[in-house]
Amino acid sequence: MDQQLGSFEWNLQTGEAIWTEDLLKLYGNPPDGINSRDKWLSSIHTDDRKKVIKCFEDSIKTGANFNIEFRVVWPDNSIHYLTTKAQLFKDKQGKPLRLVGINIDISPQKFLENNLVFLSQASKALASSLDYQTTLNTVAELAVPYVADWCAVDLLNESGQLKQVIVKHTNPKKVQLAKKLRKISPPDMNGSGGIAKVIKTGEAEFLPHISIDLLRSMAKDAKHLEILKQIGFTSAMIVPIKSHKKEAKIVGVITLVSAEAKRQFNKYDLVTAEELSSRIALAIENSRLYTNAQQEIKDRKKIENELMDSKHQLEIIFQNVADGIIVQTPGGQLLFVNEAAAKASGYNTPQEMMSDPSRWIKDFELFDEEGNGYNLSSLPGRRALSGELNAQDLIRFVDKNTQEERWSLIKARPVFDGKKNVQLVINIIQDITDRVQKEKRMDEFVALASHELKTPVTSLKMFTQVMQQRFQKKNDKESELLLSKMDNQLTRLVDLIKSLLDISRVKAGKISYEMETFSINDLIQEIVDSIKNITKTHTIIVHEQTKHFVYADRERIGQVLINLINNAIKYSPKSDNIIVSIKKEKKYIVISIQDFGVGIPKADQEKVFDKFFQTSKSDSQTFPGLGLGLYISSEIVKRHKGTIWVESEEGKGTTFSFTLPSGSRRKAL
Amino acid sequence: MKKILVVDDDIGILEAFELVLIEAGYEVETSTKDGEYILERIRVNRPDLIILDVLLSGSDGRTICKKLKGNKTTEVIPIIMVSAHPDAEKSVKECGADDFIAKPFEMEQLIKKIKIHLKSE
Repeated sequence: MDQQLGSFEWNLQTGEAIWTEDLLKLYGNPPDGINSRDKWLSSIHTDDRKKVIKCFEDSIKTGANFNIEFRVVWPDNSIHYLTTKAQLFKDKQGKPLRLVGINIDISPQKFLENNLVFLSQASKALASSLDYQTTLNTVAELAVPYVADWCAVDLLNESGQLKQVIVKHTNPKKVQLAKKLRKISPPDMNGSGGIAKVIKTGEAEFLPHISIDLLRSMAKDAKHLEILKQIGFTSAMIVPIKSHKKEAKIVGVITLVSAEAKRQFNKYDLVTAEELSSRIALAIENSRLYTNAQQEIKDRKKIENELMDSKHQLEIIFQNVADGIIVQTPGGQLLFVNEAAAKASGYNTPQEMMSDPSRWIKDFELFDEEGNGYNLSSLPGRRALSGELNAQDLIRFVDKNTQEERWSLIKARPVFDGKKNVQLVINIIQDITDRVQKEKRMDEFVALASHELKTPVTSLKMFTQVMQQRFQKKNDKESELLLSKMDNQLTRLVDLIKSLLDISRVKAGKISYEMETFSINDLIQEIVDSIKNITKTHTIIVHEQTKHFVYADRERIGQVLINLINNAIKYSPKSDNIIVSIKKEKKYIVISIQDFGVGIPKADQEKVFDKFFQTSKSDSQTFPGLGLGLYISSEIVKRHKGTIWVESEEGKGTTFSFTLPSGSRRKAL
Repeated sequence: MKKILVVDDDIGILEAFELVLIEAGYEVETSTKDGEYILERIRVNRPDLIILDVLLSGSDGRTICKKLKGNKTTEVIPIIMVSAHPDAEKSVKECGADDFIAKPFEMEQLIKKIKIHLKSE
């Protein structure tokens, strides 16, 4: 920093002063020079004049060295700091004679010092609160008497509009004036000067000296100019506020104005203003970050609360569901157990079950539907763990202590993660003991009833047949025919009773299977032949793609074939072909019975194998029967470890297929 | 004329049997009585063939069958057991019955079975 100095010599007795040129430079080269004490004093800042005079008088009185700092105002109104060091010389009588000394321009240091003080106060203010509106206000208040006469901060909002957030002035009346100015002349963002230019270029606009000509060029009209004049601009700085992020986005501007010819801004002020703007930017950013963080925390808290609420609600719902719910991990750990599941497993509370999840195994003996011991490794939950989608079983639990028995329908569903690994298994345990017991009583009743029905029907059949023989002998053809019709109806009645009995026996697993090895082709041919004798309406075509032996109950498989073929006939009253095909697929023999009849609605296809199912076709077509044939057939096929299914399209026909494992001999059922 | 004893606890079915068997040319005796009475009747009036229902209200037809088959004087009399229960066949054979017929049956089936057993006697 180049320091300027100038020397002087002042004869205190004559008043004559010798000013060097360098010294005059320090006073801004006043056009008339400085040739008197008064002239000199007049160039000193009014606020400093008193202390300079006092120091001068003290020095003369005591003979001490003259040493003081003060401000001078140059003819162009700019302020400069000087320090004076002078030596007092006295004459022989001891009277002050001369003052010889130097003036040093210490403005740069002084400005820096002032600015540093201001900046440190501003920084303190900016850091004191995270609400930037408050801090900007404080900063503007600091700046206004210190740096400028007025200070304005404009910020760009999200939609790119400029909003004046702060206007401060030493004189509150001027604030009104500034607002008025802003109203009649809002910053034109497309304009080429002032705030628009600063925002566009990102460079500060520095106007150390604002002349009346400049004001005139800025004014839109006479009214505008009048206000500009009233404000009395002397010097101005418009500094961009740039964000500290990589792209250095401009978030606003700070405008510092010196008015009423008080002072002119210098390059040090500009540096200070730029530093201030940078700190404001940081404060704004911090404030925004803080606000965002606060909002985020608030949002998260809200979501968390909602989650907690909904989790809590779900827990309440699941805890109070009548069915048991157990959620387990692949490791076998229990994640959730509800009240019903715990009670069903012999625990008092879900907590008790979660702390000792395998105790129930010791308390219960398990059986399958047919009354065989149930293998724990085939529990639906374990099967779901290995990926089975719809594992379900009806299991009878017998309490080892009380011998109390309970039937549970257990369904398990796996929940997969993104990589299709099983993440959880959800078990639903439905206590269907009541239902099973009711069904059992019902089945027992049906068994008893059908049994009881058989005796009178047997008598009826015998009577009918005797009568038939008698009419035959008498050659009464008409009566004989009537009785043969009666006998046919009795046969139908017998068949119905038989299927009623079958159903209860199938259910109870009471049918014993007589396994033997036989030709499936021969059996099919036999049955087709016997049906052909009765049915005149349909042609039954047999497609044999394979000749094969199976190991099965010949009579029961025959029953399945009769059921399926009779169904095909019954449900295709308007067509005349039935196709029975036999083919081999992998390890299985597949037998299909195809008709070209009414078909089964999609919604009913899954249900056709249910007990007592009747197609729900609403049109006038009705088909008599108890709906037991398919149920019995499916049970028989299942007992042969085969599968049965249906493919059908309404109006086009139906194909029933079932498989039997091929091979001549398998483990007896 | 061959004599056939029919034992069942249902009067209706006994009437039917009687009619059918008489029509077929047999002498028929029917009884709804319990085991002791029947065993006594058989000693007094020995039939050539017995048709016995498996489930009797007084005593089990299988018990009577076992007793008859365990007695040297009666063991040769053919016994055809009748039941409405289709699975009874197995247990019937175990108690020594010569044949089994499930209710309801066709008359021809019954006559055929009777003829076979009377011939082999």
